[in-house]
Amino acid sequence: MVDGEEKLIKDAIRGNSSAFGVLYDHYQPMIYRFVLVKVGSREEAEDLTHQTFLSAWQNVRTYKHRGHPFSSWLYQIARNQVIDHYRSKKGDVSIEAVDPEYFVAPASASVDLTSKLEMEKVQRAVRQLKPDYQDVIIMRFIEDISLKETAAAMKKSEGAIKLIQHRAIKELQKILESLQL
Amino acid sequence: MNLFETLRQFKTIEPDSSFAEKSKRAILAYPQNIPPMTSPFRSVLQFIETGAAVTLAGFFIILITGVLSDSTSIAPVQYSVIDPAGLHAEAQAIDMQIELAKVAYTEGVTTVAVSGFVASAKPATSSSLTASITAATSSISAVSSSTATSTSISVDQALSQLTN
Repeated sequence: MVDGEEKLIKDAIRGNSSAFGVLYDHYQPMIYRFVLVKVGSREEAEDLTHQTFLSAWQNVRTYKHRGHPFSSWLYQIARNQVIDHYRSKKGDVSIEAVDPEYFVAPASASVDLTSKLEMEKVQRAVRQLKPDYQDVIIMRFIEDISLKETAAAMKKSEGAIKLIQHRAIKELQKILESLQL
Repeated sequence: MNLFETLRQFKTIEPDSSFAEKSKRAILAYPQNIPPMTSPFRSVLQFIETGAAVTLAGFFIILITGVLSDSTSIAPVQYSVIDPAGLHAEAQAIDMQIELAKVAYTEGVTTVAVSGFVASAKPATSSSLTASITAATSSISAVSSSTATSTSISVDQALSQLTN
């Protein structure tokens, strides 16, 4: 959560672009990672992240603060963008279609080769999960978002998220085992 | 491989800074969508529209059901054929016949049983036994003839016979 988030949102609703710019700088990497893990392509992730924030900026006046952070609303938009993206693609995307430049991000330069390979394997496994399972794994274990916030972003109860999380981990471990064979 | 540790390492992935800057500038150059205003005049107009729609729908439902009930060929149920008074009378008549038949049957059985007992109570000789059998047979035939005419006995008469 950004410091003074509520005021920034109010200003953005009034049309203050610099206030929205602050929100963008804070939440853009998080949304980008969320989309990237789900689609596996850097270019597509950039496009979808752009679309997500464009939609957020254009419709920020409809945002209503209900005790959840702004990120929950952004995640909801990003999820819809990914769903629309796959719907318009009409056809299953191969799980092998992972961008080779995927892990060559400036901030990941410190990650060694073994870790990169492991990350690639885990990413392939995550992409084989159901969309809901993917979302929970990304939000809870990559972004370290609270149960309450995840539930708000996914429009589900906290109990439902716990259940999905449990099943998603089990499923992910099973896929990883099959990938190691 | 520690799954959770590997997942945490994904947080090191960041978007290209030049993309982020370009995207932000492009987004903020767009105008915001202005949500439609909710004026009192618009609310009143919506209320009238909804009211008119409901009234029209109700009117058409009444109209359609009225037409259907009038037309004997289209109507799903032939209401004109149903005569409640006739149906009631018929149902009552059926009930009465059943009751009277039951009464007659009970009465007949009782008579036969009583005369049978009376006859078998003191069978002195074979000739008297034959006489009592003949008497029982005649009482059974009498009962069967009374059963045949049982429909003419009213319930009150039947009940008084039973109590006697």
